[in-house]
Amino acid sequence: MSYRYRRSDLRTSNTVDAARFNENLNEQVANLQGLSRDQIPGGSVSETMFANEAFHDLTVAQTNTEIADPYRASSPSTGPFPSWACAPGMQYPNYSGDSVVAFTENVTTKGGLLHVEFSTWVWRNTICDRKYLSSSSSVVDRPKAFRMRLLVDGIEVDSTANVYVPWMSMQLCGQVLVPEGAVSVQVVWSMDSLATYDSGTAKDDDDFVMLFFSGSSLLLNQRRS
Amino acid sequence: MSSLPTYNAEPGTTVDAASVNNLFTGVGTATSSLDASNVRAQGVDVGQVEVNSALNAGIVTRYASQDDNTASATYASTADRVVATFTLGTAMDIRPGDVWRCYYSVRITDQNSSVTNEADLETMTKRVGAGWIFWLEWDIGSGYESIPGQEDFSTSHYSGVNDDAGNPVPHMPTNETLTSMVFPHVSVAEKVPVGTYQTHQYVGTTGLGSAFNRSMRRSRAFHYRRPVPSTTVSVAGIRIMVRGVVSLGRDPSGSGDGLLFVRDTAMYGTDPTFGGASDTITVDNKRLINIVQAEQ
Repeated sequence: MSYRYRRSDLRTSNTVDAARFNENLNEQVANLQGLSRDQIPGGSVSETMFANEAFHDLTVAQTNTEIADPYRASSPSTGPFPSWACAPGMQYPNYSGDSVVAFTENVTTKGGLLHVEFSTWVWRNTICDRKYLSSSSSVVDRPKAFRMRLLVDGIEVDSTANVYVPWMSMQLCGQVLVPEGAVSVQVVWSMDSLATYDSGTAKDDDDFVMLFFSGSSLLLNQRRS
Repeated sequence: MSSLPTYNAEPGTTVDAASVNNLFTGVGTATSSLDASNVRAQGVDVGQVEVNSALNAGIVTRYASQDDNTASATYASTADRVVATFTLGTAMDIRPGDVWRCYYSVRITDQNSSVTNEADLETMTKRVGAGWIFWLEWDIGSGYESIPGQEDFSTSHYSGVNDDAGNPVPHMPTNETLTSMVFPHVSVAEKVPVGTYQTHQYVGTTGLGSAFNRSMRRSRAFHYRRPVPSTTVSVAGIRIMVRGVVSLGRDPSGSGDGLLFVRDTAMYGTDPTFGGASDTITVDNKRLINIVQAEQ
């Protein structure tokens, strides 16, 4: 239905019955004051009638984010291979095992449910993986694991366990109710420190690039409450 | 607010034309801009919302599809390989501002490795492992090509990426890997024991020099927002690509950018070669899910 009020035009000499006039007019007014599904035909409300972001506010960010300075390795100090064989990832001389913020994405929300998806691929160097036997034959070392965490306003919504796989794709996903206003979304990475698990005899560990990630994208889907 | 004016003429009186005309003018003004006060609570249901029955598109979710390809095939490392081509039943339009959410997965049922080296790799202690990399390409009217944020393998992304024989090595920039999914092929680990300088060897699941040789299924998600302003892109098809065997490195020209380079030839004089026709991967049960959502 496409209802459009058609304005009548009475002439001065016309005679109108007041009771009938009121009856008809009030019926029209009542209909227009409370349109129902019967008066709004199927398919008559198109997407252009909805306000932008009426239901969903979508954000895509942090595309192809990688490890940043000061944790990003420059090049190996020694080696028989060309320097381009050294990936621009984390090296232990630049890292002591703490949690590092990969990025912070600040958004302004209208309140409601915030769906967060972070996707990336990660490479972990296995070159230090070993069962090192001390003089007493006890195992004193283990592979160095990395972890990633997804935070919304500092609260963890998803995280990995210790990851030992050399190459993998990763997706962290979570939903959280957020108030109207500023919201901060972060991804944080960490890796076992050299000091904690190394026996001290692996003299070359600190030269290795140990961790790298890229191919990332962050989706924020804010659903209005 | 579309509040309608009222007019109550007394029965038996003569209605004044000017008053009625004023009323009609008020009614016309009010109804020319209907708003929420004119629609009853829950007066609009899904049925009142326009949908495109051909696409089954809604207001927020404009497009949704799932495609499966169960065929199994084995691919050798030596070139870019097409793992699966999905011609979409209905073209997937991504308008400026729309967000494309893509989820795809594959299963590897076997890998073979030509790495047999068990020698002391002490002189190559910074050697990295190698893996397979998957990525997507789309057909938007001119054949299959790179998706924004994703590049393919070429010898021209960076200069100076040459193997031990001086030949250019195909490589992919890591900062253009939006759709990429990676699988391990061989890793490098220290040799036990010890007490002295640790040595390093290529290892897989079944031991030194072997491939991982395990079935595994992995998935990848990525998100792409069509820039505003731009044009609507109509995606007719998407295909899954794979390349092996690749390792991780950096741009030698000084930018510090990361790269993935193929290992089909020896990279350095002391390098145990692997890759090439003898390194294979078997892929089956591929799945592609597409969702396009509008910011409504």
